[in-house]
Amino acid sequence: MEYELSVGLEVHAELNTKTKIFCGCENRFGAPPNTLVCPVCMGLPGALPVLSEAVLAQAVRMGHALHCDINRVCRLDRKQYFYPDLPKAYQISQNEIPLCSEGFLELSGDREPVRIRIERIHIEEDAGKLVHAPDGRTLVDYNRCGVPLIEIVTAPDLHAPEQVGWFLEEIRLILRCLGVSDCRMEEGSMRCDVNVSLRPVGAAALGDRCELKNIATISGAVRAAAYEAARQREILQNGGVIERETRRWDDVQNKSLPMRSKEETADYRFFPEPDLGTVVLPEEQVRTLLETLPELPADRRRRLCTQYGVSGYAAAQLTADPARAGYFEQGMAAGLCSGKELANWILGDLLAMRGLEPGEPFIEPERLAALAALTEQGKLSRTAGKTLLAALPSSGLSPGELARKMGLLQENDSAALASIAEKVLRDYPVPVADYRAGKTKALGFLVGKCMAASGGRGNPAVLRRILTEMLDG
Amino acid sequence: MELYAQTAETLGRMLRRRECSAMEIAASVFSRIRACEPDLHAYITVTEAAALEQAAKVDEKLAAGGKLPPLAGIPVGIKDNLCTKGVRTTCASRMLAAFVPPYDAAVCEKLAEAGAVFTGKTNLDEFAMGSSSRSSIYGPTKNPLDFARVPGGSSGGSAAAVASGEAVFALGSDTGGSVRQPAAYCGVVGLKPTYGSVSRYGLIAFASSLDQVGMLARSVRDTALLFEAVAGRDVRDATSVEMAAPVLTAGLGQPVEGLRIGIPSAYFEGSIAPDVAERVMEAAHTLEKAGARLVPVTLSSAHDALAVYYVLSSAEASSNLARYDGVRYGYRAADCENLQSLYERSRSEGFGDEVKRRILLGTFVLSAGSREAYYLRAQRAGQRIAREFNEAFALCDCILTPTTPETAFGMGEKLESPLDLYVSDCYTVAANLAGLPALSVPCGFGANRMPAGMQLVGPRFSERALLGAAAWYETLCGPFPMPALGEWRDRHGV
Repeated sequence: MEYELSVGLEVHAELNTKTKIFCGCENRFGAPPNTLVCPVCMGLPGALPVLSEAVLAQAVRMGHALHCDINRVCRLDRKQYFYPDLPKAYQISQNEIPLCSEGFLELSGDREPVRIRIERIHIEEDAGKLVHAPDGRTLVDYNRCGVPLIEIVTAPDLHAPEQVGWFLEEIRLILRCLGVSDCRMEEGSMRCDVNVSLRPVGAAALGDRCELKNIATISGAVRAAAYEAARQREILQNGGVIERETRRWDDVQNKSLPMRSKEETADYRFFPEPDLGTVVLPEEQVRTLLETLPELPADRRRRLCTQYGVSGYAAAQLTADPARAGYFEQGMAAGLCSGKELANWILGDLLAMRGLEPGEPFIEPERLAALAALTEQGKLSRTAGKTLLAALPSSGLSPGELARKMGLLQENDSAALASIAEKVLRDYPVPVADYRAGKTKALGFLVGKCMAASGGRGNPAVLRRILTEMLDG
Repeated sequence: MELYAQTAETLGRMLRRRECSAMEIAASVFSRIRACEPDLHAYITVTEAAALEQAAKVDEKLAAGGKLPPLAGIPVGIKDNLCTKGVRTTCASRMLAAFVPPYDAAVCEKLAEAGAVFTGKTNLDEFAMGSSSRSSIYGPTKNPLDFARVPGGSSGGSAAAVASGEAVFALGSDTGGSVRQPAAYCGVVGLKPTYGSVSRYGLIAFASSLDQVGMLARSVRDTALLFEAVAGRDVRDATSVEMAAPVLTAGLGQPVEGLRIGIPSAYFEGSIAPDVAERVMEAAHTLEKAGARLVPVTLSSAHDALAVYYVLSSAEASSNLARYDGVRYGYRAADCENLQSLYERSRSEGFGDEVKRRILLGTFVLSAGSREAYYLRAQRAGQRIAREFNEAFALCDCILTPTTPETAFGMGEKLESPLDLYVSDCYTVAANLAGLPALSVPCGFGANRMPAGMQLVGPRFSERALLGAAAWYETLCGPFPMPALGEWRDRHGV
C-alpha cells in the first residue's frame, strides 16, 4: 500500500528582547551560570511575574507575518510539572487562548507553492539548563529561565521531509527579517518538535502519530521526519500498528528512540495564571504593528526579480540574509550596474571572501557596484575584477582609480589594439595562413598573442572582432 | 495608659508633640512582648535590635526638626508570610524554616518608608492555611483573652499581638478570612481590602487570585492609617490597581446619614451561635437608630461559597506550593537516592498535614479527570457569587453579616475533622471569591465573654465607605474595649 506522510511542527524560537518575559533580567546568552537571575525568574516565594510588553509586540508581529488572527484578549496559563530546571514547577505558557491563531505560510520560490496552515502562535517562558559536571554531579544554570519564547504550531500540512526543511528555513528567515529572534541554532534559540504520521493515500483521517522532541537543527528535523516516516512505513507494511508515543531524536546516531508512551503522558493540570490576569491588547497597537511590518522575505524575493531583473535563484540567495539583501539594494541604488552583475559579485566573490560579515574585509555596496559596472562595461576583465576586489578594502581609492593605478583596466581603444593586431599578424604568418585555409581555431592563438602583447589588458572581445575583420577583409 | 496600649493615631500625636520618643514607644512594646510572649506566642521572630535602630533614627529626625513620615515610630507586626529582606520568613513551615528572603515585600518597603518600626514576624497557620494558628511548626498562638482558646487564623499571631499590645497594629493576609476571623476572635478590627488595592509582591502565595494583604488594629482609624500607608498600584504586581478614591483618615467617624445596610437573612440563620447573631443584629440596630437604613438582601449562592472556596484555593495552592521541591532553597531531605526521592521526601517531610491535604485536594481538582466536575464548576460558581453581590449592591451601600458563626473556640476543639474547622470561614470566603473589600469590627461579647465580630462587605474599592461606617459605629459605641489588655491577666493571674 502507498502511504502519505503528514508532518506537523512545533517551532520554539527564543525572542531577542532586551529583558526576560516576566522580569527585568537581561536576556542574553553565554553569561556565567546563574548571574542573570532575580527573585522573579528564580521563582522565589512571594515574587510575581509581570508580562513584558516587548514580548507581546514581537509575538504579534510574527502573528501578522504568518497572517494569523490576533486574539486581542487572551490569557496565560500555568503548565505544571516538576523538573529541577523549572524553578516554579510550572511554566507560564498559553493553553486555551493563544495570542495568535489560524494563519498560514506559503512556501513559494523555485518550487510549486504550498500553503502550510499555522494553528497557533503562543508566548511562554523558557526553562533553565541542566549541566552535567565531570564529577558526576548535575548542576543547574537558571540564566535561561524566563527567556521569552514563541511556539509556532502548524497543522500536519507538510507531506515530505524536504518541505520540513523549506518551512523551517522560511520561518527562520521571517523571524530574522522581523528581528524577532536571532535563531542561533548553536545557542538553542530555535528548536522544534516534529509530529509524524502516515496514512494510506486517499484516506481522510490522519494515522496515529509519534512526536519527536526538541530537535535543535533544521537538518536534524528533516532527517528525523525522513527516518520516522521510514520507520512507520516499515511497521505498517508489516501489518503492525503505530503506537502513539513521544520519541527522542538522536542526531548523532541518526535515529529516533522511545521516550514515553501515550499512557505515560503527563497531565499538566493547566489553569489560568492568576498572577497576570487577562491580557488585553489595544486594537490601535495591533493595527500599528501590522502597518509597520517590514517587507517579508517572499515579497522581497518577488520584488528583487521584477525590480532588478535578477533570477529567482539569485533573489532567494540574496534574501536568505536580510543584511545581504539590504547590501544588494544599497549597491543598486547607486545606479551604476545591472542587478545581475551586482548579484554575481555578491553571491560569488564577496560571500567567498566573507566580505559581508561584520569584522571581515568590507567594501561599501556603492564601491562594489562601481566595480561591477567596470566589468559589465567591459572595462575590466572578470579575472582583473577579482584582483581589484581583493585590493579594494585596504585602499581608499574608487574602483576605477585603483584599477587604473594597478593597470588592470582593459584596453578598448580600437586604434591601439589594431596596431597590436597588425604586428601579430605580421609576426605569425603560419597561423594566419591556417585560419585563411579554414582552420578557424587558429584565431584563438592569435587573440592570445595579442593579449600577451597588450600586457593582458587588451579587451579580448574587441581584439577578436578586429582580428576577424583584418583576416576576413 | 502604657504607651503600648495607645493607638497609632495617639502615639503619632504624642511623638509630634514631643510627649514621648520613638525609643520609649519601642521600649514599651518590647517589654510588653517579653511579658506576654511566654504565654501568648504571637511571634515567630522578634526583631528588637533592628527595631530600636529604626526608632533611634525617628528620634534623630525629630530632634533635627525634620518632618516625620505618617507612621514614624509606630511599632508594627508583620505576618511571617510577608518577605522581609535579611529576616527569615518561615510561613510557619519546616519547608521555609531557614529561608531568608533577599528582598522586602512591597508592603514592608512602604511601611519602612512611612517610618514604621518592625517588631517582628508574627505566627500563623502553616502557609496561611487554617483558622486557628495551631498548625504552625513553632507551636500555636493563644488567644490573649483566654489562653485556653484559639486566636483564630491564619493571621492569629498578628491578631493576638495587636490585641495584647505586643504591636500597635499589624499586617496579615486574608485568602478566605484569615484577617477578619482572627480579628473577630481577638476583639480587634481587621480589614481585607479590595483584591488589587494592595501589592501582593513579596506575600508568599497561598491562592493568588484570592490572597490580599490585610490590616489588623485596635481602632478603625488605625486600620485606615495602615491601609493608606500600603495601598496603591505596584508595577511588580500585575493584578494591583490604583485606588480611585483614597481613604482620608481625617474624615472618618462622621455620621453616615441614610447609609443603606444590606442584611442577608441567610447569614443569621442555621448553624450560627445565637449569642453571636444577637450581638451582630444589635450592632446593625445601633447604626439604624443613628440614621442608617437596614435593607433585606438575598445572597442565595452564598452557601456554595465555602465549597467553591476550598476547590479554587486548594487548586491554586497546589500550584503555588509546587516550587518547594528541595532543589534551590527551603527544606531538603537528607541522603536522597535520586531526584524523585528528593522531591517526595523533601515535600513529605517539609510540609505539615493540612498543607499536604490541600495540595492533594488541589492537584485532584485540576487533574484531567476531575477538572470539569470540580475546578471549572467552582470557577463558574465563584463568578455567580460575585454577580450576586453586585446585584445586592444595587440595593445597598454595604452588607452587614457576622464575621464568624461563633466566638473563639477551645484549643482542643475541632481537631478531628478538618471540615469542622473549614466551617468557621463560611461567612468570610465570599468576599475573597468576589474580590470585595470586607472589614471585621468588634461588636460586643458572646455568652463565654469572648468577642464577637460583625463584617461589613462593600463594592470594589469602597474601603472608604466601609471604614467610614465602621468609624461611625465606633463613635457611637465609644472606643472598642480592649479586654485583652487586662482581662486575661485577671483571669489567668499573670
